[in-house]
Amino acid sequence: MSDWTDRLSDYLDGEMSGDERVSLEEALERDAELRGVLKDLQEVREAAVALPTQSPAADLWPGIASRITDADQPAVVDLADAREERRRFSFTAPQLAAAAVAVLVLGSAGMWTLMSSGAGGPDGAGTVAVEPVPEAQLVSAAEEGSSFSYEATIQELEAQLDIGRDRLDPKTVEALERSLATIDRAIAQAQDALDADPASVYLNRHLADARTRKISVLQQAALLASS
Amino acid sequence: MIAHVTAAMLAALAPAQQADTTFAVDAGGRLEVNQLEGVVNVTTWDQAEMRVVAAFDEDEGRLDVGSSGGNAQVSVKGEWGEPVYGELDITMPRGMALEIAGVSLEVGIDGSAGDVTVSTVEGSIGLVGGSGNVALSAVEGEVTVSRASGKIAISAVDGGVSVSQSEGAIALTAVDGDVMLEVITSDNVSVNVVDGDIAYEGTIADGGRYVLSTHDGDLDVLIPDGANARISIDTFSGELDTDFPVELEGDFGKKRISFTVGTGKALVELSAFDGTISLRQE
Repeated sequence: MSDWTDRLSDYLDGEMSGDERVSLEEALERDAELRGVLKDLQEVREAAVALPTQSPAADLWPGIASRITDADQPAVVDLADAREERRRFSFTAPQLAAAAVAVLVLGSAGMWTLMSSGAGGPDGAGTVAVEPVPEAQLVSAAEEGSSFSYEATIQELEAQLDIGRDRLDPKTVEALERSLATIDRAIAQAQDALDADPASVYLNRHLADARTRKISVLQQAALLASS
Repeated sequence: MIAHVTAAMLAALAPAQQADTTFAVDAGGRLEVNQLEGVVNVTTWDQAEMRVVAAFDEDEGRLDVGSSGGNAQVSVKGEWGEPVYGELDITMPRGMALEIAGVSLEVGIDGSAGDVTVSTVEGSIGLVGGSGNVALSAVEGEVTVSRASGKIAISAVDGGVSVSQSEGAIALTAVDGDVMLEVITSDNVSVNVVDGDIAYEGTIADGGRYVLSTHDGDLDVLIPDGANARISIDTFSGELDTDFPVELEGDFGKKRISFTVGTGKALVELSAFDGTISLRQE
């Protein structure tokens, strides 16, 4: 795995210096595996955009507080160790894939439905992503699942929009459909360009941006249609 | 405690009716306007009072003014609380936070020095002023901002956006429409457009980051005299046009190049999938 893997999230978050960014993009041009990890991470972010933003149904603080004060827990954690652990968790390929799967599960089932059922509540707060899963299966699941998640999210939002379409002013519907068509054209053009030049970092990022934009506009439209 | 006041109606001029009421408010509080249809114009003054002048159809609605804690609420409603078309002219304390939401609503705000949040579906938004958090969202309509400061976030779907004489972090997205940024003072600008041109004239501050991206449109960027920036250019089928000499790094065959102006302390990322990227220098 490339030395740059741990920095991909910083790259997507725009938290790299100019020189680092240029060096990483040169590495991406050379390293197909690194591009694959970046693509996975982008897809996780796209799926995360589609997650609901509801507040938790239960007050999670008592559980969190009890865990903080748990006598079995070390009183002091070395920040360097914690930082290193966080980075390992965030960016290794299997864990990235696990994150993708978790996003898919939470996105399709509803994060807070899961939490309100008790699975993610205070007592179960530490169980998320603990289950070890074989690496090959996870990567495979992430690749298949990420694509499925995007399409499924689009379909779900379009269905929501269809249900409430009559509540919207026809002019608004027309404007939304015109804009969604614009985004679809952009996605198709970016996809065609990427098919011709799959190593292009810019095209990968551009396609991901366009797809994320489509989800955002559809979310906005579906929200309007349901209100 | 919630106190609702139904403003007294003035002389009957059916169907148009006008209400005019002034009441005390918390100058550091928040004004919430939920007006489904109509026009909302907000101006400010240095008094801990709010004046609301409303025009509406007396057969359909009434002016509803409420206050709760430090918050004030204003809208025109029907007999059963249903939304009714109304035109509101509001004068509020300058520093009061403002939140306006509507569906078919034209919004004009002048002189605010507090947080401003506006959300419309159909209708334009015009803002002069605003400080702190400024968040504007329009599905179908133009968004115009001037003399705002703080964190400025704008989302437009079908309509252009113009920001001028403003300072602070700017995050802007648009689908169909041109974006114009003029006289901007910022070290953090992010603009993403699907189908539209982007023009930027403002600071390129050392350590700052400026990301301007369009899919189908042109980019026009003014590089200030003395700017220090590393500038990267991405395009698929677009072109680069500069009015000053640059020493290119990278491979233009791969549609990706970069170059440095001055010491390169700022990061400027420009991308146009299909469009011309023009760089001009003062």
